[in-house]
Amino acid sequence: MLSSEYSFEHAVTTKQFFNALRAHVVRSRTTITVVFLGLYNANEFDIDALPEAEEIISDYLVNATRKSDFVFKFSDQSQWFIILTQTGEREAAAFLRRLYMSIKNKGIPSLENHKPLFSASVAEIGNDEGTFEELIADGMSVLAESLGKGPEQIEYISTYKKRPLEKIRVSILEENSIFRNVLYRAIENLDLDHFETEIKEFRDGYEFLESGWYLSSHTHLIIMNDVLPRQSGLDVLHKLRMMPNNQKFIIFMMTKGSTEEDMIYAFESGADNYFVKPFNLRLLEVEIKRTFERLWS
Amino acid sequence: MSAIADILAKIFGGFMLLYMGLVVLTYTGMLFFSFLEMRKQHKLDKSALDEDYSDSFYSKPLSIIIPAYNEEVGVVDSIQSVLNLKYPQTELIVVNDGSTDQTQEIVIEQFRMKKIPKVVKEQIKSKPIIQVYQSEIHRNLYLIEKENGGKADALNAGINFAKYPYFCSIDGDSLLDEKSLLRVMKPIIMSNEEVIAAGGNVRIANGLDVQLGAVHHKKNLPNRPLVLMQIIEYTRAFMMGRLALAKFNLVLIISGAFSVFAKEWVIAVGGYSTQTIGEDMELVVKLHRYLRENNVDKRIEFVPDPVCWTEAPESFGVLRRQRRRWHQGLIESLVRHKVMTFNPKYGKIGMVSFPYFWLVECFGPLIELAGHIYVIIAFFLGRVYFEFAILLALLFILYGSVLSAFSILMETWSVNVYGGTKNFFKLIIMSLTESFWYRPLTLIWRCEAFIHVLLGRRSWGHMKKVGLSKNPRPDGSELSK
Amino acid sequence: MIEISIDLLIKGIGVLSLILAILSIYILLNGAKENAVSRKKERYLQSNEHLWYRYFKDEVPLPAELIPKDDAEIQAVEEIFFSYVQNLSSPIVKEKIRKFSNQYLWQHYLKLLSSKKWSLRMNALYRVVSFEIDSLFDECKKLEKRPVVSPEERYFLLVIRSVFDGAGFMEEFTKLSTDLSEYEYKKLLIGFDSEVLEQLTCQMSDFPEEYQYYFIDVLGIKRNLNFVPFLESNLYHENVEIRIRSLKAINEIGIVDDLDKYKVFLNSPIWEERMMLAKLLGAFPLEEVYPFLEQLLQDNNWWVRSNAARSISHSKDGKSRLERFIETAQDRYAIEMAREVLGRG
Repeated sequence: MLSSEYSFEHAVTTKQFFNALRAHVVRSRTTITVVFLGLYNANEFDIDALPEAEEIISDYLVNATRKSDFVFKFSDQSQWFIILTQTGEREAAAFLRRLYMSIKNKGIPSLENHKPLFSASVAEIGNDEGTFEELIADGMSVLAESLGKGPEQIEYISTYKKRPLEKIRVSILEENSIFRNVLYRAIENLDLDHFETEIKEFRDGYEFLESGWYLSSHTHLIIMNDVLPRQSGLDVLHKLRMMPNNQKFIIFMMTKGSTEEDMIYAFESGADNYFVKPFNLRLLEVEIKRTFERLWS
Repeated sequence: MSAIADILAKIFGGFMLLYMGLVVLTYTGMLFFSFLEMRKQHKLDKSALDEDYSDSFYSKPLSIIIPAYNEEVGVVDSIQSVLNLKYPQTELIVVNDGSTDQTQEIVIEQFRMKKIPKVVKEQIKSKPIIQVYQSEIHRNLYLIEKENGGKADALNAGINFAKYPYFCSIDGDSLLDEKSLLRVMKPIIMSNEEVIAAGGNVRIANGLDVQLGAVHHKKNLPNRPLVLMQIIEYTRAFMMGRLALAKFNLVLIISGAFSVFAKEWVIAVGGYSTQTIGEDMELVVKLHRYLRENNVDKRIEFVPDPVCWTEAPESFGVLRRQRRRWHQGLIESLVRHKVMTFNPKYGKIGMVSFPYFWLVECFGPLIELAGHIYVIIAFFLGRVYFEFAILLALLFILYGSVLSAFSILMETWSVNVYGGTKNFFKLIIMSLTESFWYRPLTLIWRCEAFIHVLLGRRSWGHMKKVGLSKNPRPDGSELSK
Repeated sequence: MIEISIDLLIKGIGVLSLILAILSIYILLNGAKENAVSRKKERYLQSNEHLWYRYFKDEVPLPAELIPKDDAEIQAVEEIFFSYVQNLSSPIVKEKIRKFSNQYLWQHYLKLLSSKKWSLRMNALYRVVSFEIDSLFDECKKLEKRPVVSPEERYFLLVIRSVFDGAGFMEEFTKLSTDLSEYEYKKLLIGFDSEVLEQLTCQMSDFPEEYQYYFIDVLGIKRNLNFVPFLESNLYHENVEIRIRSLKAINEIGIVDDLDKYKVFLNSPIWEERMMLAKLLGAFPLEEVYPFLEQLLQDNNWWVRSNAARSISHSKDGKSRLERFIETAQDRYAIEMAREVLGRG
C-alpha cells in the first residue's frame, strides 16, 4: 500500500510478478528457487485465532527473508509461496532448516502459546518452461506429500531445474594452422554442461574482424595470440573492448615470452586471462570450464 | 695531328678496356662471394631458429625512429607495420619534422595520441622539439613534433628521445616484414656487442599487395619497365654489393630505409650529419672512422634476409632527382672523409673500401659515360676503333645486363621473394635489356650530380607519394591509390 | 690482337648466355621440385593432423600411416612436432615425440649430421635438441672432434650435452672458455634447474668475469626466492658491476624484506646503484620509504629521479604525494620529473 498521493491501476498479480522474475533467470543467468511452505499443525490453533496467527507468521517470514526475496500467502490456506532470488535449492534448503531450527528454539514472538511447525516443498527454477499454474499445482501437491510425512520436512521438485542449453561462440585467432587445429579439437571435446559451443578458426585479427562473426549477442570466447599477422592482437583487443555490449566477450590471450609489464598491460586493456607459451593445454581447458561455470550465479 | 689524336684515342680506349675489365672482374668476384654465402645458408631452416630470439630476455630492446615529413599518405601503414612486428620490447618514435600537411593530425587521430610533458635531454644537437605525444592505445608509440630541420635532424631528435640502447631508423614510406627486426638484430644479439650496426635488405613494393602494413608478395609483378628495372637494380645491389662487402666488413652503405645502430656509438660520432645529403652513408663512414681512430674492434654487418619494402619512384623525373641526390651524397661523404683513402691507419676501410667506392662507385659513372660516348664515336671512325668499340660495348653489356641477370638467378635460387615462373622470366628478360637503356640513363643522372656538387646545389627532391596501400583503412576511409 | 679479344669476348658472352639458360632451367626445375615437395607435405598434413592429435592425446596407439615415407613427409612431421613443442608444454607429448624421433627419424638426421653442408648439420642439431633424440648423442659428440667446428655448431653441441648428459656437462661447465656469447651462455643457464643453479652459486667466483654477470642476470630471471640470500651476499662485493646486477636481479625476483641492507646505496657514488635502490623501494609501503624516495627524486641523475618518481606513483597515495611535492619543492628537475610521471599516469 502506498501512502503518498500516488496510486496505480492494475496492481501486479503474483503470477505476473513471478513470470517477470523468471524471465530474468535465463537472461541474466541467475537462479531462483520457490518454496511452498505449509503449516503442519494448523489444527492446533483456534479457528478464530488462525487468521491473526497467519498474519503474524507472514510478517515473521518477511523478516526472515532478504529484501530481494518475496513472500506471498495463499488466500484460503495456511500456506505460503516464497520466491528466493539468486538462490539454488541447496541454499533454499539451508534457509528452511535455519527457519525450522529458529522457530523450534526461540518460537515466534506473539505466538508463544503455539509453536508453529512447518513443512515445505522446494523447486529450483533454471529455465522458463512450463506455466505458472503448472508450477503451483506441482508445488502444492508435493507440499501435500511433504506435510504428509511430518513436520520440518523438505521435498524437492526438479522439473524446473534444468538450465537451457546456451549457445556460445568461440573464436580462435592463431597463425600456426596445426596449433590452431589442436585448440579447435580441444575445445570441441570439452564437456560443458548447459553450454553448446560453435567454434570458428581465424588466421589473424583482420580476418576475424572482417568476418563479422563477433556481431551476435551470444557470449563469445576469444582465444588469441598477442602477436598476429597483419594486425596485432592488442589492437584487436582494444577494438573489441571499445564495442558496445563488449561484456559478452571473454578474451584469453596467448603469448610467447613476455614480461610482467606486458601481462599487466594486457589485463588492463581488457584480457580476462593470459597464457604464456608453451603452456599446459589442460590448464586452458580447466580455465575455460571454470569461466563458463561462473557465468551462472 | 691526327696521329696524336690517334694515339690519344688508343690510350683512352686501352684505359677504358682496362677499367671495364677490372670492374667486371671485381663485380664477378663479389657475385661469387655472395654466392658462397648464400649457398651456406641455403638449406638452413631459419623459421625454426627464429623462435629462439623472440624471448625478451635475450633480445636487446630497440627504439624505432620514423622520421616523417609530409607523409600523410603512407605514415599510418608504416606505423601499423611496425606495431605488428614480432619483437619484444620496442618503442616506436615518429618524428614529425615540421610537416605542412596532415601527417601529424592523422597520426594523432588514428592512434589516439595525448600530449605528455617530457623533457628530452639533448645529446645530439637538433632543432627544437615542440611537443611530445603518447598513444593511448599503444603505450610504446610516441610522436615528436619539432621544427623542420631535415631527415638527419629529425633522426637526431629521435635519438635524443630514445630510451633503449639500440635504435633503428625506418623511412616514413617503408614497410617492414614481421620478422625483419628479429633477423636484423640477430648479428647484434649473437655477437656479444661486437656488432654495432646492421643493415637489412630493401626491396621495392610498388604494385605489390599491401594490407594493413603487411606486404603480401608472391603475386604478379607489375609490368612497368621502370619499376621492374629498379627491382632488378636493388636485387643486384644487395645480392652482389652489400653481401660480399659485409663478409669482409667493408660495408659503407647501409640503406637508410632499414638499419639498426647502437645508440652510444652514434652519439659518440655526433649523430647524423645535417650537412650532407646522404646522411646514411655519412654516418657509417663516421662510425668506421671513429672505430679506427680509437682502435676499437667492432663490426658493421649486413643481413640478406630481413625485408623492408619501400616505395620506388614511378616516373623518370622523380627517379632522376633521387639518383642524382644519392650520388651527390656519395661524393660529399667521400670528399669529406678523403683523408681515409689509402690510409693504412683506417685498415681495410681505408685501403680497400674507400678506393673501391672512389673508383668504381663515385667516378665510375663519369668513366663509363665517357666510354659510352667513345663507343658511339669510335663506331663511326674506322677499323681499329670499330673493334675497340665492339669490345667495349660487349664489356658494358657484360657489366650491366649479364651480371644483373645472374643476380636475379641467385635471388630466385636462394631467397625467392618474387616467386613464380612468370615473375622470374619478366625479371630475367628485363635485366638483359639493362645495358641498353636503363644503365646509360642512370649514368647520365649520376654525372649530373657532379655538376650539382660543383655548383653547390642542394635540392632535397620531393617525391609525390602514391601510397602503397590498396585497401581501405579499417575505419572505412580510403587512401589515395 | 683486338680481333682475338673480340672473338674471345663474343665466345665468352655466348658461353655465359648458355650458362644463364642452363641455370635458369635448373632453377625453374628446382622450383618445381620444391613445389611438389610442398604439396606432398600438405597432403600428409591434411590426412594425418587429426591422427597425430589423437595419438598425442592417448586415444589411439601409433597408427602406421603416421610414419613418414619420404623427405617431404618427414618435413610435415617436423612441422607438427615443432608446433606442439613450441606452443604446448606437455610431458606426455614430449615423450611421444622423443620416442617417435628416436625410432623412425634418427636415420634421416644421422645422414644430415654427417653432411658436408653446414646448413644441413645445423638443421639436424636443432632438431636433435628440440625433439630430444638421445640416440644420436654419440654421433653429436663425434661432431665436436672435427678439425673445424663453427661457433654455431659448438653452441648447439653444448646445449645437447646439457640436455642429455646433465651431470657430465655440469662438470665441464665451470671450465668453459669465454667463446660463448652472452646470448648463448644465458640460454644454456636458463635450461638448468634451480637446484643446479644453487649449486653453481658456490662456484661463481671461479667463473670468468663476464660469465659471472650473466649468471646473476639469469638468477634474476628465474625468479626463485632461494637465490635472494646469495644475491644479497653480493651487495658488498668489490666489483661494481656485480653489485649492480645483483641489485637488478633482486628487483626482478621482487621480494625484499630487510630494508637496512640496502640503505647504504642511498648515497652511493654510483648512479646505477642509486637507481636500482629507487626501483626496489617501490616494493615497500610508501610511509616507510618516502623520505628516501624523496631524496632520490632530487638526485642529479635523470634515471635515478625517474625511477624514484615512478616508485612513488605506484602506491595508493603516491600521486597525491607527488602533487604535494610539486607544490612545496625547490628542485626544478625533480619537479619536472614528478610532473612528467603524473602526466603519464
